[in-house]
Amino acid sequence: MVSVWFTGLFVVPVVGGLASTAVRSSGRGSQSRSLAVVTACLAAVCAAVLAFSAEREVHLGTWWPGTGAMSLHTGGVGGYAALATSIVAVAAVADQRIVRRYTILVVMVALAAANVAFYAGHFLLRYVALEVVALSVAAAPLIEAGGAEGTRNARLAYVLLRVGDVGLLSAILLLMDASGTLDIATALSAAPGLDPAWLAWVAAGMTLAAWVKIGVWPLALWKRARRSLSPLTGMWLYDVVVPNLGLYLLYRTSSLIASSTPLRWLIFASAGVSGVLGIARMVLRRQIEPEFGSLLGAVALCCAALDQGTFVAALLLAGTAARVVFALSAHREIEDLGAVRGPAFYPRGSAVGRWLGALVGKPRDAVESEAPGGGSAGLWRPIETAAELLDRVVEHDVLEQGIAWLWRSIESVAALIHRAVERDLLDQGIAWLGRWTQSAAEAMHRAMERDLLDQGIAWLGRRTQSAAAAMHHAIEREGFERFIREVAQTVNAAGRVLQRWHTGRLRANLRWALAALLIAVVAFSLWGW
Amino acid sequence: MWPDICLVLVLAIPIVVAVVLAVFRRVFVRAAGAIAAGAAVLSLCAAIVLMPELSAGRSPAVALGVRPMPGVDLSLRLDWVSLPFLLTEIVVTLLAVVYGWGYHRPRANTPLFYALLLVFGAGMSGTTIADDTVLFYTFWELMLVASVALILVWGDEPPGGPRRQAVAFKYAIFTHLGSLMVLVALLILHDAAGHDSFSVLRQGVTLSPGLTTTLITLFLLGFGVKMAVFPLHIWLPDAHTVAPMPVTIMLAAAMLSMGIYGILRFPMSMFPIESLAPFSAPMMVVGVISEIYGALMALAERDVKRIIAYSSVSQMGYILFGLGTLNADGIVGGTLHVIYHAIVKALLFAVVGIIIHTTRRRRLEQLGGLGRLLPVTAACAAVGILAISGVPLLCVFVSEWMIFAGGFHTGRVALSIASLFGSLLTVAYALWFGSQVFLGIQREEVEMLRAPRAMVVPTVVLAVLAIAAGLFPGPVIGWVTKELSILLGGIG
Repeated sequence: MVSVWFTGLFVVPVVGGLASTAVRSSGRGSQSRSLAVVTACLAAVCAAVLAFSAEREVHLGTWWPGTGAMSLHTGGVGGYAALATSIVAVAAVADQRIVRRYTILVVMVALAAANVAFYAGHFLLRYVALEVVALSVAAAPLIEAGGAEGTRNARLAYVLLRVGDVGLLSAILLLMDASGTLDIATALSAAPGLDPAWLAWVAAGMTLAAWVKIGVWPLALWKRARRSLSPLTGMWLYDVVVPNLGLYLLYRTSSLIASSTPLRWLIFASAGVSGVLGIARMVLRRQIEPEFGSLLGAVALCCAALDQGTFVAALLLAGTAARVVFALSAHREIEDLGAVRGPAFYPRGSAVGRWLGALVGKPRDAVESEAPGGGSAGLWRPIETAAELLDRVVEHDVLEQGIAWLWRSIESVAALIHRAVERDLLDQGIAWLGRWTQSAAEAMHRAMERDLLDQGIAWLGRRTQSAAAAMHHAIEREGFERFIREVAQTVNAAGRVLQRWHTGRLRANLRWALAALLIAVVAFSLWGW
Repeated sequence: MWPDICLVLVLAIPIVVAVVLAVFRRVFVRAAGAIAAGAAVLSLCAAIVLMPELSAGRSPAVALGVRPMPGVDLSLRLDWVSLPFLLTEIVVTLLAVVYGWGYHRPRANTPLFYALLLVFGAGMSGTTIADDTVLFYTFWELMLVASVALILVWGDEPPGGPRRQAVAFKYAIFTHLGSLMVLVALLILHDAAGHDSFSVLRQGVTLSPGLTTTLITLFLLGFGVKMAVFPLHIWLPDAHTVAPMPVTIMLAAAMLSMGIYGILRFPMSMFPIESLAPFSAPMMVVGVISEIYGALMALAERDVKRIIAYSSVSQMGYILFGLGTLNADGIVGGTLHVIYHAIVKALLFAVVGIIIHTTRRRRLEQLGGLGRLLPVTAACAAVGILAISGVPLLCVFVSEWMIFAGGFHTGRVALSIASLFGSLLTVAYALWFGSQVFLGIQREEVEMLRAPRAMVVPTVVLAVLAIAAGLFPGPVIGWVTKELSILLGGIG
């Protein structure tokens, strides 16, 4: 049966939100609103049943291997927190008049996700739910305000909430590493056994996540977007859902947070600044919101730092109603300024809020009604001036300008690195390397090819030629040829001598041969006859 | 028998079709895109057919029977390390080809364009299923040659931007330098083992500790160039900017992951965890630096294509960080991130392609308010932007969770927290990009062109994949986890 109520708590808002959006898209605004109210009521009924049911665990299965079965736990503060959030959702949806087409869808998705986060017994499930809520928070200004401001606010809200979620994720992963599980209760019970340095990281991560969500100075800037939103999203989503999730996280992890002394002092210091600022602004603006949530959060952080989880839970539950009342009065102020179109405010809550705001502003009114330079006025002026100064310096100069400065700094650092590393160092470096390689190659070409090789070869050619000439001269003319010539001359001379000598004897021999032939001829002639 | 044939078909179909397109290019001017897509589909079917074999514990393998020299035996094999990469490459090739129908107007050389896309895809697939170093390196270079040719011939030249010839040469020279380091390492391995088969190399190669360290360094540097992690990324922004959009999609979504595959296949498969332990912290540090540096550069850029290009440098940082953890969570997370990054990066580049095609503008200061004019593209872009920001229920969240969890398991808490907080810069640039392009007012009056359906459909498919993979990560994690039995001596 518990599973059925859980299904109602998570699925009904999403389905109802989709249906309501579809009906509104077809032009039936009042039916869409009725559907949204019925959906919110059904979710609230489911939340009520579950809040008062016995403690039980419902397993949802494993999302991916290694993360363990995800589960939901009934009973405890989570159930009451879900109930409080759902009841306010009913009131907010019932009273809303003019909203954009997708507002109801965003609200219903946020409601379902917030309820999952309150009941989640598994870190992964809780983290996913928190991220979905963060996306809803960012989507609201995009849908309702739009334009450059809406875009800027959406971006700022998501990035800041993500900063908190990154803190939470680092704590979760450290706890998982220590305990081997993502089951919240088991992992948290394993935390005291952690190495002190790691435990400090875990506590810091959890605190960062809670701090951002609760919206305590200086991490409350994401709430700036609500100034331009309708009460439904501005009040319910920004002032109830997200801070409640932060307070619940604080409640679950207060013992961890209290274990870190430096963190405790950081929280006290920030809470002190937040308190001074908040009270100064309340008096200055004659309005309790938006400072009330921040003050309440600062008190809750201090309670967590003192390991007073019960007080944190009490602040969560009791504070929800108070925050709603004051948030409504704040929206009245906004509406007067024309930031929200149409009669989108809640008369009763707004009246109470205004009355309380006026009460807070009474001392100032009383002083201002006196003659200038009066006794108490003289006392008041320096306080007012100091408060205004503090407000301007801290909120405007430090935070808003600081964030803008931080963004500009990141951009300019990125641009600088881009210019210095990518263009000058790498691109130019490569170009330089290319040019250097080219000139080195040219020099080498000049040295090797032209100077060394070309010239060398030419020199070698010349040398070879002259050597050849010398050799030719030495061998061909002076050596070999001369020898041959001389041999030839000698032979020639010898030949001539021989010829001369031989030729003379031959002539004599020929004479003898001729004489002998003649004798032979004569003899043969005589004998033959 | 069938699995072996399918394994060959995974490569043969795109290569044969590419050759046919190139040879008969005058005949197939109009039909080239459809034929190429058909080839990619058939190749994908062949790969899918192999999955039951792997699930049954068999590893399809084919010896090609070619022995160009002693100790070299060309062969193909599919195992659990290759599977995620192979499927990613083929799917990305298919989507890029289909995207090309809308991006690329048919001209005389269109068949060559598609043929080279197929060769590029086949080069990646071949690198992935090669079971020997020679084939691995051959396909490794084939993908480089094909991609360089694509950039050289069909690259865009944005006004005031780099020239495509210069970019193509820069890309070729840089990645080839990395390839040379890999080649030297492969030759040393081959020399030591006497064989080039991965199966033989995996069984253990006896090397001196100094040589082992040198080899691992060479592999990490060589594959690091392909991954484009800082400071080895300098080829990437220009190549991604100048390449035609289908090629950019393939480069970013599939080719970068080849570097990761190389790291998994060589140093992480062939050496024990003790040999890699000294590289763990440097890998994680370089990963974090790359993650933050890439994100900062994306913030500083104003050219929409370059923003997404630098985002790849950042995302590769996450993967290197995951692999550097040397534990199951980190390595599985890193490999998952390859798949999810492929989906998201292809999606974002597809979106950027549509923006450039419809507005003919590419600088942030010229764009704005496109959400109303291009609602489907804007919705897909929102999915991509949120996914890359690590928003739950979208794919990248799962892999980032595992990578960060792996980081914390190493005990290097400060590094892990730096990586976690560095991811905020990813959120910053992604939201900045999305809000500047799709929200606010249109900064320049532009006569919008219609986005071709062939460009929009793959974009929508990728957006749906990003959501589905985020909602149901179980099956993919199941496949990827099986690679652990092969890596680091079986850390799974």
